[in-house]
Amino acid sequence: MLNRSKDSFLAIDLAPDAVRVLDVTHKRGTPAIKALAAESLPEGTPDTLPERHLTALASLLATQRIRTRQCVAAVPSNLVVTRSVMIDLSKPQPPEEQIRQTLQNVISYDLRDLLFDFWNVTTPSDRSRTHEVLVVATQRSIVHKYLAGFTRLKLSCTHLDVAPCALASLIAKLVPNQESMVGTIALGETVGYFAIVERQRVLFWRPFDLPSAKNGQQASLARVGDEISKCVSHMVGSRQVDDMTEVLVFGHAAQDQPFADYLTQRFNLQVRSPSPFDSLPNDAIPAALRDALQPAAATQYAAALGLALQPSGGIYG
Amino acid sequence: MAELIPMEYRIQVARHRHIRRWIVATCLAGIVAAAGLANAYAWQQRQAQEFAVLEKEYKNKSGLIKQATDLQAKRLDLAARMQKMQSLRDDKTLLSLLKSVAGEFTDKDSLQYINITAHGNAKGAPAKAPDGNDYAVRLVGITTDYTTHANLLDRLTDAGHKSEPPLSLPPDSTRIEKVQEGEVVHFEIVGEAPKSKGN
Repeated sequence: MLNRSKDSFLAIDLAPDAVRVLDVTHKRGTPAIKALAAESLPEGTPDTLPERHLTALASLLATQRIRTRQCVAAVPSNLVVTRSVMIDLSKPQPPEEQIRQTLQNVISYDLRDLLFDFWNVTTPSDRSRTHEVLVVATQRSIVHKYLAGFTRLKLSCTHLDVAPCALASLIAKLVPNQESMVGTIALGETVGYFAIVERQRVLFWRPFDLPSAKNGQQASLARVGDEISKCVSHMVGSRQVDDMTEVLVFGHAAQDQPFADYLTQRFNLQVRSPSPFDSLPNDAIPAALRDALQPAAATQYAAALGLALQPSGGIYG
Repeated sequence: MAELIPMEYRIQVARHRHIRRWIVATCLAGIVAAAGLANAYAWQQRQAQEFAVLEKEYKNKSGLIKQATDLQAKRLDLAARMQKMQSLRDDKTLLSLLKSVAGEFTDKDSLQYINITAHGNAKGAPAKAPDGNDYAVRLVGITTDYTTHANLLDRLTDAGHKSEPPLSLPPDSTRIEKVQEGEVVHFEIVGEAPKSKGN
């Protein structure tokens, strides 16, 4: 009984526009989806996003009668700052201090409220005294707000990630060639991000706002295209991105054919919008649930499913 | 993967988890200890009750044993008395002496005390009879006056000669003294087996 409870957890995607939850159980290392649910956020300002997330999550847990009490979550991408930082190993300061010095010029809040994690994008070598790391940073107070909210909801959060990293874990299951570099676009109603992923690792990630729907679809396409161009330009400067073979699109309007055609024509890349649940074996999700999931709805759970697919189910500690 | 859970939160959660486990373990240990103590107390109570019951039974049985012992002692005492009475009843010398003495008292004489030593070994017993048997009779009483005392002495002397075994009253066998200003005479007469001629 104890093992069963330890192997069950909720994968919670705290997206900017909604909360999406997967009730996951690991069976012999493979995640199985017991239930899924989503709750839209009430209207509000970005300052109130954590409160609105927790309110929606409480409502979702109550209405869906979800009993699982362990969870992993992805914080909303619009509350996270990401930067590529060059670490100079010849400097006396440790990498953390160098990152902190870089971020203090970027963030608008108190440095004592800074919370960040980073990973290597390029491998340190003897020939070069510098290497590149990708940093994700957010406010410690916001994280504590979420963790306190989880505690109030009797949830024990064991891992708090960012959505692009969750997508990287999903893409590793969706793309047969694990060595290839893959671009991914996640779109919400008002915000989205483009990320470049290689071997389950996010190499670069850039969030962007989407123009209002009343400006027309073409405006949205142009905005996404421009953002991807910026990312590619950055990556060309730091890394060789010719290996990028395809772009995977998830989220809002991911199934639109004009969108795929636009990206294909502009970047001469293959554009796909697979269902995230294609990464699971057939028996990992109840047939009724799989049949009921329309592609437009299934693609919204990409980040949540990515969390569920992270090594060891994303459970740490 | 990124990890945005602060270390202090993880430490706090781990500390709470350890505290919770310790509390649970302590509660379980307490429950086990309490159960053990309760069990030991109940066992002690049961033992005490059993001991009380056994003690009560022992006391009851001790009373019965004491009663049985007392009864046995009484029976032995009774048997000894009966044996004594039987021996007295079978003692012809004693009965003969008593009969010969008792029949000589009249309404003017009163016997206060009689001591018959029928079979020798008596302290201060007189000389042996011709048949070798030792016996003596000591009479204490009161009589009306010297005359009645003399008459009693005569009758006892005659009866002693006739009785079997014979009882002899030597001349110094009586002592008298007046009491209550001469109204009655107190006497003490000692009879014994007649002395053999060789003596």
